[in-house]
Amino acid sequence: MQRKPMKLETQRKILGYFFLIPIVVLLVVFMFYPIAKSIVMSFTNWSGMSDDWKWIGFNNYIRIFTDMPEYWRAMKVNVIYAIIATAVQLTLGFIMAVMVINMKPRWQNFYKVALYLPVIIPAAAISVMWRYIYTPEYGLINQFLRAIGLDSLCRAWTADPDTALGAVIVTNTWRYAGFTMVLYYVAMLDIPKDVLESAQIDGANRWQLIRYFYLPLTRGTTEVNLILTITGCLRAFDIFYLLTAGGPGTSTKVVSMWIMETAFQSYKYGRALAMSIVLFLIVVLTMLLFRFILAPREKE
Amino acid sequence: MPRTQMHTAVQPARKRKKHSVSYYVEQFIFILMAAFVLYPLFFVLLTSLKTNTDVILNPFGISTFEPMNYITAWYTGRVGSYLLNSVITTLVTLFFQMIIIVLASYAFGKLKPWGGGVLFSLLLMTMFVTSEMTTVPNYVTVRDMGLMGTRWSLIIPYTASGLTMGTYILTNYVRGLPKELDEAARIDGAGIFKILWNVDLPLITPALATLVIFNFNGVWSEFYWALIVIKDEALKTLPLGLINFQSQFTSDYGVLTAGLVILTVPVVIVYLFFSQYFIAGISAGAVKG
Repeated sequence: MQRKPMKLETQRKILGYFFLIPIVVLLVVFMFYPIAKSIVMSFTNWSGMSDDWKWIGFNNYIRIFTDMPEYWRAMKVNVIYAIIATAVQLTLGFIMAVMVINMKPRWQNFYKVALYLPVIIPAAAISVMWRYIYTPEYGLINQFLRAIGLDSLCRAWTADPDTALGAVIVTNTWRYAGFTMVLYYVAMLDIPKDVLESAQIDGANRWQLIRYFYLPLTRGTTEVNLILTITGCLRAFDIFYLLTAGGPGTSTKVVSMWIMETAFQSYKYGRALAMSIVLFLIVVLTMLLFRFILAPREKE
Repeated sequence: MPRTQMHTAVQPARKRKKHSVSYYVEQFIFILMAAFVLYPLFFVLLTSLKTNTDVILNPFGISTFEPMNYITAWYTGRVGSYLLNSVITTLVTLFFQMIIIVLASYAFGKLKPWGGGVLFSLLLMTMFVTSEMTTVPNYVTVRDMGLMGTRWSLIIPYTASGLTMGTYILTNYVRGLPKELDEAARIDGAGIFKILWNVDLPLITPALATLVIFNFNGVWSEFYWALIVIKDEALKTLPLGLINFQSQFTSDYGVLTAGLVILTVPVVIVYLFFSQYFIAGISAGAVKG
């Protein structure tokens, strides 16, 4: 490669800065500045509406940890939700991926597109749809139960404290299992075909293939899926807000709902920011924890 | 960038003359799972075409045909207006996003200004920021800019929110482009903009298509931010409008599901249209990192 004249190279570099102006401006205004401001204002009693605020030190944080049982009750909902939803979603996603990858190419194409479909449907549509499916009188589930003579099992799925969280988990699984599946599927495409084939020739059955090939060779994807799903569950808002609105009572009220209420209904921005930051730290710690747990063995 | 992954897997050569029982059990389970995913969608589509009596008396079948549901949803339910708002907001946002992302990726991947690497990592950090951290201050920023009550209160923050992931994906693509073409074009006397437009842009179109669908989906479905900033009925986007709509037609399932179909169909069309790029994008490192 011939040496380019210095001048042109310099010109290109300077032009590079101009190309970066829009992204830098937007991210500074809508990402870096708000983060900095969030951190600073979480130490104040700012209402958000007026410019009248004063420093109150760690009071917001102290309050979260000592005098805010509802925050931790909500966190408990998030954690239970995260554990169950993640376990179900990863298991289903993995099984579906193994099945899809062993199909004829035409069916692979069909299923990977079809099963991913719910992922792209707006949460608002999903919730309206599932609320309808869960409706006590004319909903799909109760109609179905009546049709097969199990009337006694009919209930108001989203309004019953025993089933409300379960209903959200089912909807969430329906929504995201395809996402998990596609990630696994894509990882499985990278497994060399001849390795699988020779294992099969040596008499490995399906379960052995899964146990010794599909599962260990998609370990990195399992990590990604785990982290994405768990952190997603800890931050969940839309599906809860739209499906149960936190009810019945506060049985499905999640943390981000409390934050939103504190900020936009009680007008306690400072406190809401502190609540956001605590949630953020919990999410980041969870992420790091899982990376730590899962990382070392990956180096085999 | 491993482009080979974009293509469908080669089917493992595995010809079985006789299927075992477990094969059929497996297939059955799988069809059941696929039905679990697809049936609710079908059910909604079916319901949107029925009269309310039919919905109640005949939940699983269809014995009436009621396209009026769509007309009611469109006019009485204002779905037409919501749809228009969603289309405008999404298109304008995507337009800005794509320009900004292409410029930034080109700078990071090709022009490489001094300190570009550091800046790149700094920008990538914003991918881990949760919306809870930015929502409240952004609300104040948008209010202070005087954007409340206008479409820009959605468009500008939306544009900002989809930039990092897009720039990350596209920069990786741009870095992988062959340098020889650039060199050749430059020797032929083409300027930087001409090279960008004529040589590189066609090459990054597949990646750009992936971004369009990722970001289209994000903007079209966005709910949380819109709920906070949009109070004006005339500016409501579909996801937001549908919530009103739900309270307006609580027990009118036909109309309600017709509204759902209208909200969902554009995303499904875009998705089906670009789906090969979409799966490719995921494998190309969008999430695999």
